[in-house]
Amino acid sequence: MDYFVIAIIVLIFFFLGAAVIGLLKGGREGSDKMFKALRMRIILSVFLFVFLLFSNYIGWIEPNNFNLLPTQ
Amino acid sequence: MSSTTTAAYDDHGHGPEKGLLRWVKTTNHKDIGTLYMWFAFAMLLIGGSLAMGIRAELLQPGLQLFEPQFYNQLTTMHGLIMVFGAIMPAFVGLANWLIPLMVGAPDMALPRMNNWSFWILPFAGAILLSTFFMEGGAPAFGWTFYAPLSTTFAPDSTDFFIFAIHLLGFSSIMGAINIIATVLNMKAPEMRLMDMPLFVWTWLITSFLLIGAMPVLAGAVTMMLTDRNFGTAFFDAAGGGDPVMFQHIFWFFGHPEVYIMILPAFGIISHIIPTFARKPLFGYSSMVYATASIAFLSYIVWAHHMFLTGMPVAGELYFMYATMLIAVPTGVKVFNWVATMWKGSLSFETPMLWALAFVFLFTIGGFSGLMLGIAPADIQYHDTYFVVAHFHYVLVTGALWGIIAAVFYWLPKWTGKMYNEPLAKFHFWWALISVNVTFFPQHFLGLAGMPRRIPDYSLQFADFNFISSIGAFSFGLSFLLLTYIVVNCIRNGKPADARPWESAKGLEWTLASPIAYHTFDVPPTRAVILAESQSS
Amino acid sequence: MSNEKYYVPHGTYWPIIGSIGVSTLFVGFANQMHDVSWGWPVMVLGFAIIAFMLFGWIGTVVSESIGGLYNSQVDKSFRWGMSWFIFSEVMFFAAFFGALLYARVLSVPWLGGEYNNIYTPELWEGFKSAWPLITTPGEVGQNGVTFATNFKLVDTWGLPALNTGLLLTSGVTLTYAHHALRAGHRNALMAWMLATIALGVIFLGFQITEYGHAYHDGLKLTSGIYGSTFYLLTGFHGFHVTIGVIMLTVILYRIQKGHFNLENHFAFEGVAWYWHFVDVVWLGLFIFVYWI
Repeated sequence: MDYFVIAIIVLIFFFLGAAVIGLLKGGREGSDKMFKALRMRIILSVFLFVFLLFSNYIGWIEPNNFNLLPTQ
Repeated sequence: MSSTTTAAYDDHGHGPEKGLLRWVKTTNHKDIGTLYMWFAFAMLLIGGSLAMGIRAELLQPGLQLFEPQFYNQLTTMHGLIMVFGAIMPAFVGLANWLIPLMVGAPDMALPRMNNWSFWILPFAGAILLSTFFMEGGAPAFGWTFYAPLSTTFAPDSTDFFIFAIHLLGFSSIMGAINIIATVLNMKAPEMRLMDMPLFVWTWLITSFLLIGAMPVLAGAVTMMLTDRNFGTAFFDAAGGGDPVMFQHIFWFFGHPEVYIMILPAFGIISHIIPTFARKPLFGYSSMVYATASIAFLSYIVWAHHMFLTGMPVAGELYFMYATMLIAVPTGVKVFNWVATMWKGSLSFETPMLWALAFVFLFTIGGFSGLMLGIAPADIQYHDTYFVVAHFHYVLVTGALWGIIAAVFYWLPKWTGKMYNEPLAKFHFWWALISVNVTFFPQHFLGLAGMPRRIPDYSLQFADFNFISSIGAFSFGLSFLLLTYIVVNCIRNGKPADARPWESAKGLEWTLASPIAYHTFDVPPTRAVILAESQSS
Repeated sequence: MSNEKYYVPHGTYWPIIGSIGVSTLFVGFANQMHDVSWGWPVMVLGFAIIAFMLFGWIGTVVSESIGGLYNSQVDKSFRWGMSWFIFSEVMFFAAFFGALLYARVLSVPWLGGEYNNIYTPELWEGFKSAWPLITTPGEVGQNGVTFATNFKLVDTWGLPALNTGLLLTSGVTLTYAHHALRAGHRNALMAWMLATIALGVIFLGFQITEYGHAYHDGLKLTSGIYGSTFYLLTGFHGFHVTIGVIMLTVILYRIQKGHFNLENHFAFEGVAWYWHFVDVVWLGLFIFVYWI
């Protein structure tokens, strides 16, 4: 579950980055690219937030229970 | 869309404004480059005089001249001024002068911001230097300002130092953004990426390093600031933080920083050696890729500065092997330079002498770096004079040598006049011999166990320290001669040809000497670009 | 886009004014921290100079842009500048997120004696590593600060979740505004922009309220590494939201003045991207600071 969340975050950053490339390009084409990327990123973000709310409600994940490295 | 690079000037193409305000208001890349260079030179002399103080204290064992606390202020400020005040601004100054000329652009991409990235520097430098006159003295914790030396045990002036670092960081980031925009957006429409001269390539890659690393430094000093004044515990184990974390954050900035200070010099050397070997540069594209690899690797090797400050063994091994990897692209560069000279018809004008000395001495510094990069060996060398010798070989005879080589190489283009060649050669040999007398014995001192950042030492280190100090005084004096040579060139030099080095390549040599205030209003054609390209 | 040539401005006073402003601000701030009486006023003065400089500088650029002095290449230079400026911001936040992860994953467990670390348990006997770190290893820091421990955590599903919703909604409204701009619907654009700005302002208001609650419940800057990372990350984020709100307001003003058209709206795009960036940073904060 943790990894799913991280994957979504990585995707969000990917689209944010894609938007910069659109911004750089400029013109009609770049503007399209940027707009679409930003739209994707906001859709994903909202999805992630709703997913977090939902899975917290169901009890899939608990706050403050996250370890990147295994403890001994 | 960028088919038009022709330029329109606010001043209708007239020359520079009269009076001193010209320098305050200027948006001209040549003016700003000049400002950067003179600022860097002034800081070099100030930082150099601090070094003279250090060597005077170390001339003999025992405490001669300074209190230990003041001695530590000298070493700290010497490092900070040289790194942030001299070497980095000098390279940005060279970039300002040369990049628009080399890519056939009318000016830097963002001329007003260009002015700001320079004009922050004198203010930052003044704040930094003013700490000497404050109660408790200047920062005395070494240029790496490790916590808790810089948080708990530092003088009040440290907060001024922190803000000076913030300002220098703004300046560098703005400079880097400007260079990226200039290279990628302003280059002549007919110039492709792989036509670009290597100085442009190395600076482009350096800019990415600057933008990636400087904000992290800003973050580090911000944490320091709040730890010092607002009771946070980033670097305080009692609050759950970790002083070692400071070192991780600092060196995540610090290692890219050392490449920021050497990559542009690699570019400069890659211009000078082909010119005086009268052969095209060997392996142009491998030079580009090697630069990019060095830049990438520089982000993932930072903890090799921290082998002794507590790290899991697996971490030490990783950082050791990653560090060794950097030797590969660096080796590619050195061999390319040697191969460029192979069977060339070499001549030894002053810029070539500096470039050759760079290749020899930087390689020595590189090898001692490899020795330090071996984790088990580093346990012996860590924080000894061996480290001091290592980084002075890469920064003085590397970065600074590159800058001086560039100054002699392009001075005729900048001023339209020729410097005094015999005098410049004499100065070269003077500096070369004295720099080695200064720093070479420090290898032996370090191997014998003399710690760095110490005002007094035990008697067995006396002889080498004496030699080193004598060399340092002589090296310091040589800069007075350098000042004379440059000023004399500007005032009384003989007019130089548009292309004073007959086999020099590059768009900047297609311009008339003395150079006009505005250049490349109309971009160069493909034929000209190809004829001046290093890659063909 | 009428101009064929690359516009190179001539003399400018804004940078030197900016340098004076920033130095004044910092010198004032540094003195203020050492209880010098004139610290505050000098700081405020510096701030005023910077504000003056920003409005003047950007005003000059805007009027040059309206005056048709910039060609598409100048526009592209601004695009490069903005993109890499934002990248430098990303790296700045990365330093603080790095500090947070380092503390959580390495330094706090080490202090509790994990990873076969035999030394640290000797230093802080009986210390148990945990996150959020409510009880610090020592009671007094090395700079003499008494740590404000035993604070109550901010309830993740209270204001922070609400704020996340608000900020994400502002991202949605901004996307609609962007769409309206590209479709040429001016009134819709202004409405969506206004909604975005309003959401941003409400977010800031809630954030201040939340700080008040947290402070009241004992969570302070001096609450050890948890308080340090909490306040610096959210604080710098709030600072960026403030800047974003100001920039959006300027853009709204410029829309009202009719500065943008379908083809030429770089300033809008730059600010929009900045807002999306601030939004994503908040998402990271919500997840890594408030939630897990």
